[in-house]
Amino acid sequence: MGAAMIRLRLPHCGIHVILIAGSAVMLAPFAWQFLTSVKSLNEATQVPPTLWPTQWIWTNYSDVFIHIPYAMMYLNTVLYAIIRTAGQLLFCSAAAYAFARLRFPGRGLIFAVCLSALMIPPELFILSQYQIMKGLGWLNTLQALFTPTIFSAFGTFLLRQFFVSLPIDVEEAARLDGCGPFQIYWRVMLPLAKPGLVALGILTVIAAWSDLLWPLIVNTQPQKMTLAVGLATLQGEFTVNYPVIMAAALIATAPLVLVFLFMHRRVVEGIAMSGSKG
Amino acid sequence: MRKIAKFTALAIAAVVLTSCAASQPSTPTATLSSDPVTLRYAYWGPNQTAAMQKIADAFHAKYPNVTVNLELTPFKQYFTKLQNSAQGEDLADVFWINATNFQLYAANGQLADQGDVPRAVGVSASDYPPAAVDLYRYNGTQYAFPKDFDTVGLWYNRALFDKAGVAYPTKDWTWNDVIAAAQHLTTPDVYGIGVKLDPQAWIYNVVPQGGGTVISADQKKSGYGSGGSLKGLEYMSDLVNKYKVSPSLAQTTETDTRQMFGSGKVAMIYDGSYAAVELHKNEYTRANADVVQLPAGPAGDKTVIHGVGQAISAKSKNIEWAKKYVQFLVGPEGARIQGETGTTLPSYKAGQELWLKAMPQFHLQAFLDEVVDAYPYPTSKNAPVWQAYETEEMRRLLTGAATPADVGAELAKKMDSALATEGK
Amino acid sequence: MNTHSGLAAGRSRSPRSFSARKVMSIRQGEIMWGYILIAPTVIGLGVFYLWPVVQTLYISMTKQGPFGGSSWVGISNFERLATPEFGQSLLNTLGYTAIVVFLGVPVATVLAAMLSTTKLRFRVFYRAAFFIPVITLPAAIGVLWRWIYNTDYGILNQILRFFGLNGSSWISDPNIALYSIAMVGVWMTVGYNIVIIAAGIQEVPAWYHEAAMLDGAGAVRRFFSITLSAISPTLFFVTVLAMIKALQVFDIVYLMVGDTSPAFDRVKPIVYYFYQSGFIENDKGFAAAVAIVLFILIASLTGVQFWIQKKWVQR
Repeated sequence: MGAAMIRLRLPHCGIHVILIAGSAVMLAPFAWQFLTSVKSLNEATQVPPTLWPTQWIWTNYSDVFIHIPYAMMYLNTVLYAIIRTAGQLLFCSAAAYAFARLRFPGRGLIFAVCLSALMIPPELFILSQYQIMKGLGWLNTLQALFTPTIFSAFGTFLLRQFFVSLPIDVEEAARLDGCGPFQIYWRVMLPLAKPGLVALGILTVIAAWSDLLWPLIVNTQPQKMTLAVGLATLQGEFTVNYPVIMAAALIATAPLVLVFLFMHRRVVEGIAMSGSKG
Repeated sequence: MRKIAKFTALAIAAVVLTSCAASQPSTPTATLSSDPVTLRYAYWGPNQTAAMQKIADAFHAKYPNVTVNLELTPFKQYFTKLQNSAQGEDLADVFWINATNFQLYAANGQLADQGDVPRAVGVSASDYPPAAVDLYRYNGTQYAFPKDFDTVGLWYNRALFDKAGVAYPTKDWTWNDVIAAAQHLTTPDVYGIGVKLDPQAWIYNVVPQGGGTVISADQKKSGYGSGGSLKGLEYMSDLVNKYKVSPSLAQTTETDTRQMFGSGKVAMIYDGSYAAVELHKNEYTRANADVVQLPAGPAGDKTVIHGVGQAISAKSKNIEWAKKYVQFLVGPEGARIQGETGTTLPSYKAGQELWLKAMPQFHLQAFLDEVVDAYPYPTSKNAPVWQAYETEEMRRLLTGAATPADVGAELAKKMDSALATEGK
Repeated sequence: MNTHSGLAAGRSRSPRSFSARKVMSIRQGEIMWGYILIAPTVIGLGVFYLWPVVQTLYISMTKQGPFGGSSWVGISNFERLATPEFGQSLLNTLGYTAIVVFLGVPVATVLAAMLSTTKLRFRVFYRAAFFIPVITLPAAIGVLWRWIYNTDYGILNQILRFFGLNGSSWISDPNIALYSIAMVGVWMTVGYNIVIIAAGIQEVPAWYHEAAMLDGAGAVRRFFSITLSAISPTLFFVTVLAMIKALQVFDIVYLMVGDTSPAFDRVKPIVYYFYQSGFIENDKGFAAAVAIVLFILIASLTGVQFWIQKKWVQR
C-alpha cells in the first residue's frame, strides 16, 4: 500500500504513557473478572474486598457446567456462528457487488430501502420474525436461529463500501475478456474483497456469539440454547453468585479472544478497510 | 381487616367442603393413552433444576411412555417468552406461573381447567394451604395448582445479636421491637435491618400488618390510600430514612439484602421460606442465622402467602397426561422430592416435614406457623401494570423523595385508573 | 452453454468463445444479474426486517389483546406518548448517545492517531488491548461493570477509598448513573472505532505531512490541520454507526440497572420503555408506537448527519 504513517513528533514516551494507561483501563476489568472468578462467594462479597484471592477456588469453573449444559451450548453457538456468518458472506457480498458495480433500474432506491433496515431497533421485528418461524414450524430448530440473521443490511452496506473502493480497471479487463457479471463477481471481485469478507465475518461471529434476545425467544429447550442465553440463565432471580458468573463469562468469551489473538492482523486489516472509504 | 376475616372464613369453608368430597374414592381417568408422550415443562428457577429433573425421572419410571423435558428460562425473561409462546400457540404443556400473571392467562382462555386436584391426587384438600390454592382459582375454576408455597419470616444473625448484646427476636415481636433492636445493632460496619423494595418480602406484609390492603377483595380498587396501608409504608420508610438502620435503596438494589445478610453486613432481613436453601448453602449463615415469624404491626400478625402455580396450556395435545403430571408433582411423590432436597416448601402437608428436616439448623417451623395469618398475594387481571407503578412509587418512598402519604395517594390514583381499564 | 467450465476458466477465455452469449446484450445481462444478486438479500430484508415495520406501524394504531385480537384506535397510542416519563426516556437516550458519540469518537480518534505513529513499539499489543471489549459478550460486560461499580463491594470505590476519596453509587445515584453507563458504552466501542479511524489515517498520503513539516507545523497542528480533514469521510462513517447503535441502547442498561434502582427513571432508554410497555405491561399497541417514534428519531438524526456532513466532510 502506498500510504505512509504520519510521523508525529510527540516524544514516543509520552504516547506510551497514554496508551499504557488506556490499555490498563481496557484490560483491568478483565483482570478483576478473573480474580473474582476464582474467589469463594463469601470472599468476593467481603467488605472491604480483597484484591488477591486468599484461596483459589477453581471449582467455580466446573460449577458452571453443573448448573447448565454449557458444553452443548458451546456447540450450538459455534454452529450458529458458522452458518450465520457463511450465509451473510454469501448473500451480502452478492448484493453488495450488485449495488456497487452493476447498473440496473431502481438501484439507488432499493439500496436506500435496504439501508433503512439498519435503523430498525431489533425489538421491533422480533415478534414478527417469531410468528414467521412459528408458521414454518421451525421453533426450536437451528434454522430458526440463523434464518433471519443471514440477511444483513449492515453487511451489505459494509461490503458495498468495500467494492466501491476497489479499482475499476481489473473489472474492465475481465469484462473485455468476456466475463459476465456473475463471473466477475465470483471469480474476480470476491477474491479481491477478502479483507472485507474477513472483517464482516469476524463482526458476524461476534454478533452471533453475543446475540441474546432472538435465541432466547425462538429456542425454548436448554439443549438448543446458545452461550449468551446460558449466561443470562445463570443470573439467579435474587442473589448473584458473582464468582460462578464471572467464570462462565470468561469461558464464554475465551474462544473469541483466542481467535482474535491468532487472526489479529487480518481482523484489524479487514475491519479497518471496511470503514475507510466513504 | 373484616375483608380478610371474611376471606379466611370462606377459605376454611371451601376446605371443609372439598375435603368431604375428597373422601370419596376417586375414579381413575380412562382417557390416558399408552402411546409415547413427551411433555414440555417450562420453569424459571435454576436452583430447582435438580429437584424438577428428579420428579420428571420419577414420573417416567412410573409411566415409561411419558417423558418430561425441562425448559429453563431466567425469571427476567420468563414472562416475555411465555407470552410470545402463547401468541405463537407454542406454550409448554405444563409451565410455572405466578399469582401476578395467572389471571391474565386464565381470563384469556390460555389455561386448562384442572378440576379438583386434591381429589384427583387422592388426598384431602386440607392437606394444602387454602390461601395458596385459591390464588390459582379464577371465576371458581382451578386453572393452576401450587406445587409449593412460601411465607415470609424475620431472618436474623445470632452472631451479630450476641455481639451487640441484643436478645434474639421472638414471635411476639412488634415493629417497635424491630426498630429498637435495629438501632442497637447498627454500627459503622453493620446495618440493623435490610429494607428492600420487594413486594413479597416487604410491601405485601407491612401493608396488611398496618391494617391496610393492597387491593380490594373484588380486585377493582387500590387499598394504598387507606390509613392502615400508610402505616406500613411509613414503617418501611422510617427504617431507612428516619432511623437510618437500613442500607439505602441504592445499596440494596445493587446488592440484594440477602447477599448482605449472607456476608454479615445486615443483622436482620425479611425474606421468604424460599431463601432457606440459599442461606443453608452459605456456611456463614448456616452457622449463624435463624428465623422467626414476622413481627406484628398495629393490626397484628400478617404474612403474604404465595406459591408457584403449575399451569397446563389449554392447547396442549396431551392435557390428560399433563394433568396427571401436575397431580404427581403436587402430590405426595413430588412433595417428597422437593422436601427432601430442601429445594422448596412443598404445598402438600406430608412433604413439609421433610423440608423442615432437610435444614435442621433453622427453625423453619415459623413459616408453617404463619399460614394461619396468611394474606393472599394481591393480584388482578393485569397486575403487572400496577405493579410497575408500585415499584415506581416505592422508589420515591425509600429514597425519601416523597412522604408515605404522598406515595399512598399517588399510587392509589394510578392503580385505580389501571384497574379501571383492566380487561377492556 | 458450458457454465461450469466457463466459470473455471473465466479469465483466460478469449472473448470469442462467448459469442453465443452476446445475443443478449451486455447491458441486459448486467440488469438481470443485478436483480439476481440482490434478490436473496432484498427478499430476506423485506420479509424479516421491513415487513415487520409495516406491521408495527399498523399495530401502533391498534389496541392489542394480550393473546391476539385487536381493535383500531387511530393515533391515540401516539397521543399517550405525551408524558413526562416518555420525555425523560427520550432525554436519557439522547444523553447516552451524545456521550458515546461526542466523547467516544474523539477519544478513539486521538488514540488512533497515537497508534499510527511510525515505528511505535507494542502497537499490536495496544490495538489488541483496545479491541478485546469489542469481542466480549454484552451480557458479560453488563455483569462485569455492575460488579465494578458496586457501591459496597466494587473495586472502583475501593480504589478511590485507597486514595482517600469518597466513592459513589455509580449506577444508582440518579445524577451520575447515566454517565457511568455511557462510560461503559464508550469503553466497549472505542476499540472498534480506533481500528477504522486508524485505517483512515494510514491512507492519508505521506506528502501531506512532509509538506506541512517543511512549513514547520508541529505534530499537534498537523493532526488538526491535515489528518482530521483528510479522514473526515471515515469519521463520518464512524459517527453515523456509533449514533445508530447508541440510540438503540438496551442490553447494558437492562443488565446494570434494575427497576428498583433510584436511578431507573433517569437512565431508562427508549428501547427499555418499549420493552416494559410491550412485554411486561402487555400493551403491544402502545409499545409499537414507541418503536415507531424511535425509528423516526433514528432516521431523522441520520438524515441530519448526512445533511451536515456536506459542511465538514472533505471529498
